[in-house]
Amino acid sequence: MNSTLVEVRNLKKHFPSPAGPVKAVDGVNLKIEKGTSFGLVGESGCGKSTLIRVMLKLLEPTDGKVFFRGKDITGYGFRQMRPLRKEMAMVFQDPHLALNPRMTVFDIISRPLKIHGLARGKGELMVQVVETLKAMGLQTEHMIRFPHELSGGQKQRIGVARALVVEPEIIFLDEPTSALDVSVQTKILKLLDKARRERDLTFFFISHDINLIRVVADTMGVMYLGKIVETGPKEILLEDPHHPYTRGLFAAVPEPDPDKIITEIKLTGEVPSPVNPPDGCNFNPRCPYVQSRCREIEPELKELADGRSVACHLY
Amino acid sequence: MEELLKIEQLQVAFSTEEGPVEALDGVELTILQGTFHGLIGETGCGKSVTGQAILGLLDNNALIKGGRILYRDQDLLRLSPRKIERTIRGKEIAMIFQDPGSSLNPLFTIKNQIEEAIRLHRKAPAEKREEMVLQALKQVKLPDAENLMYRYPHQLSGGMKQRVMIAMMLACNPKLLIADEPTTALDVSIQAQFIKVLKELKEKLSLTVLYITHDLAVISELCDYVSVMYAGRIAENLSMRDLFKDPRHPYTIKLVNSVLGATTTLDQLEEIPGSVPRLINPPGGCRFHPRCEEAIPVCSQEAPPLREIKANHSVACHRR
Amino acid sequence: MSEDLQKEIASLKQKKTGQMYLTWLRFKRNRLSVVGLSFVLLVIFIAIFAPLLTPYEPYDTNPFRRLESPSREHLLGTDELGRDLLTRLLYGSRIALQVGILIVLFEGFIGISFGLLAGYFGGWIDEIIMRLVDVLRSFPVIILAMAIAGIMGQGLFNVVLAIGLVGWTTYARMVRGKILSIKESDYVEAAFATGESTVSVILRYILPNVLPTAIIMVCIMMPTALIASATLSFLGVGVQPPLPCWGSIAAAGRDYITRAPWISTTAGIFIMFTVLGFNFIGDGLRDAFDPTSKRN
Repeated sequence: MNSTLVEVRNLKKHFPSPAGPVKAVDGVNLKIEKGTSFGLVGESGCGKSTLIRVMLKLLEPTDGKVFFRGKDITGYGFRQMRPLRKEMAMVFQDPHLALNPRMTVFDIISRPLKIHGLARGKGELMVQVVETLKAMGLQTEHMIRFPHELSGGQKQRIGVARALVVEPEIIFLDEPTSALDVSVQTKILKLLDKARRERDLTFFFISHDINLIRVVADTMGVMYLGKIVETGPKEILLEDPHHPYTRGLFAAVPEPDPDKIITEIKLTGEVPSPVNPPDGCNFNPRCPYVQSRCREIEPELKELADGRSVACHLY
Repeated sequence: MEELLKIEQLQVAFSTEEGPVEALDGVELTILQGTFHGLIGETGCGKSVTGQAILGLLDNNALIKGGRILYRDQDLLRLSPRKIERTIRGKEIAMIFQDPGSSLNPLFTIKNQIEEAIRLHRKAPAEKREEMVLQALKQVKLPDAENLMYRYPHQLSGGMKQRVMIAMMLACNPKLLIADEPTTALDVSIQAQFIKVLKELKEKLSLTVLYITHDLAVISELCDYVSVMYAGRIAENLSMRDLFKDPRHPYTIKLVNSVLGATTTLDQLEEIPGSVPRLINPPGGCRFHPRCEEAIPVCSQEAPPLREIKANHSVACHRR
Repeated sequence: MSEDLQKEIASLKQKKTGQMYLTWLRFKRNRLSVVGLSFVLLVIFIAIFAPLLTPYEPYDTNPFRRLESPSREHLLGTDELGRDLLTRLLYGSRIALQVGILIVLFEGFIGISFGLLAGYFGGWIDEIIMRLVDVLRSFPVIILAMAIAGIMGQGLFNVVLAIGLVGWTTYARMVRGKILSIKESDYVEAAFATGESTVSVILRYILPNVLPTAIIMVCIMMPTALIASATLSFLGVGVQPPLPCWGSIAAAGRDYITRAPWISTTAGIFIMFTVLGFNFIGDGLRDAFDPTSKRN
């Protein structure tokens, strides 16, 4: 394996609420190796979107540390973060909301270049913007357009272009295709994949769609109620998921194939509130294999011999 | 099998500031009694409009320009809004939506709301209603129904609300259920529970459902027949098996091949060039022709009619 | 830069239609707002060229020709001091616009700044500003203005002060609400993620998106300001005679409403058309500024 690019240790983000702190992210540990694509799966409200924002320092963590290239960036202020923003880019979920409606496509893509002083003069700026647009399958003509004049797929390609134009080290992708139709999704996925291979990029992908993560990731993580319950190489996890939640989640995904029908419901009940997560293992109220210690002791994320880590007393 | 609902040449236009939008242009489909019929397509293809048209729930700026919606040989388009409200909606044909929260009244308990629905649509003595509510809630596998029925909608999760909607509908015993993206807002694990409930109801009550969705994987779990829509028209009517094993329309083929499954790789995924046309000024001829790799000159001139190519399978394409 | 690209960009620049132009196109589509615009332009024209439009002076009294009915000589008749009514009304547009513009600038500047501060920074700043807004809004404007006139004396500037003192709260609330939603938007988050500074985010992302709201606010608040100032003049605590002000002309005509009903009515009509004009423009702008409303 290569070196670790981003590492997160015991990261927590609690939001205040009248009912008590909402533990959106509650002790996450993970490592993203350089040049790999890490895919994090989780259902809505599991804290994956908050996690991405804390990792990017768009939100201040309540506790824990974030490392980039081995340096602790947790306490970094605006000035220290600024050069790192060139290395860590982000693509947002809803392309209709992620672009400033009062900026032209040219302005949107050229801003990051200007901020980081990556282009000398207007000519160079123009060339870089046009090249990035072309790489996204768009034309020079699109530069003068405003976001509302573009289709959803085109907007998302602008969103990806904005991330790619500064040639970052890693791109954080927050469900980049979930707001798009399937036919458009393919285009974005292929563009992202091509960019990653050509530029040797690192990806951190989050999604609720397991099949999507399966296609784009090398390493996979599963998040439940603010915690990572299982993580490891994609093939190992898909082949033989260990954590009862991972198993249940994988089994609940419908297949676009009439010969593969969901036969068994492994995940019953509902996700508990992140204000009052259960004691011990927070999956214990829904777990079919629950034992008495699961209700008292919180399982650690332990690395197993096959290279995966799992947070469950059964292993 | 008996035909329960038949849509013939349905044409609906919306008047907008920019001019008329031809949202539906000759939609044809038949729903058989006791089957689940999927209606699939991408954003803006008119699948939701079709569902709304059946129950007379179209927006004010909609104009029905032609066609028939035959429900048991009765043309719903010829009934007055009052008549539809009294005799059809809820009683014969019920509908559930993507966002279950907005369909429930936040000020009343679940029990109140289901009882009210029963009172409106079925002749049942007051003392029997509570039992019917309980029975309906149990049918959709809601846990602890005795206590749950005294709760208010905001105390329930999205998945539970969606099941309450189904329970409310079941209590009125309609013949046809129109479900418009009912699981889109739900998580996969909750969706799986929901699908299971629907499957059981299908077997027990021989329910008929028009299931509107963009999710082909859900279709494969539930449906017997499928209509594929593109830009306000039916591209293909076929059985669910044919959808995955023998799709004929170039759009259907592309659509099926762009869905991620458990074994698909990125290279296998197909993309459809271009984007969905705006219906304010749709392409002439076959509306898919600008994006179609198999297009021939006639495709841009004449709209292909739906032609039956085998039993329960018709396709609207000049090349088939 | 390659020559092809240069050419392509040059041709693009020609094709590029400015956002202002598109806004105008969308504005133009609404007939009522074009009518409103023409009313307002007419009032502005009158205000500028008043001396050329009438042979009389607004302050020339003539005790022998009081309260004359409309005639060829005096198109709208004369007032209680024998001054030509039309002249006074035409000159009145100057006062009306002056007062209106001053009020709107005054309250707009304070309101937008405070709204921006409250909305963007939140916390105790927001708390203080919004409580101040609540307090001020519970004051009856007219009585407050009368009190100010009582303390500081009457006059044009005090009218502006009195009305503006309460008026800014409307801007502050609107702008704050708008900013709260913009601040939470993905594109602002995206801006921070690319490394934009707070100042840059405010200037490039928040202000351009608030500006349309602010401009619409000005057009909608203008009539309120005009009516309020006219009311104050009417009550005798605003712009003082002999200055030709629509409000005080209407007030003066009140005593002669049976003998010379045209005095109050024509003053009222002038107020009405100006107010309508600004209201129509405000409505039209609301649609025109919405970039999602489609152009033809």
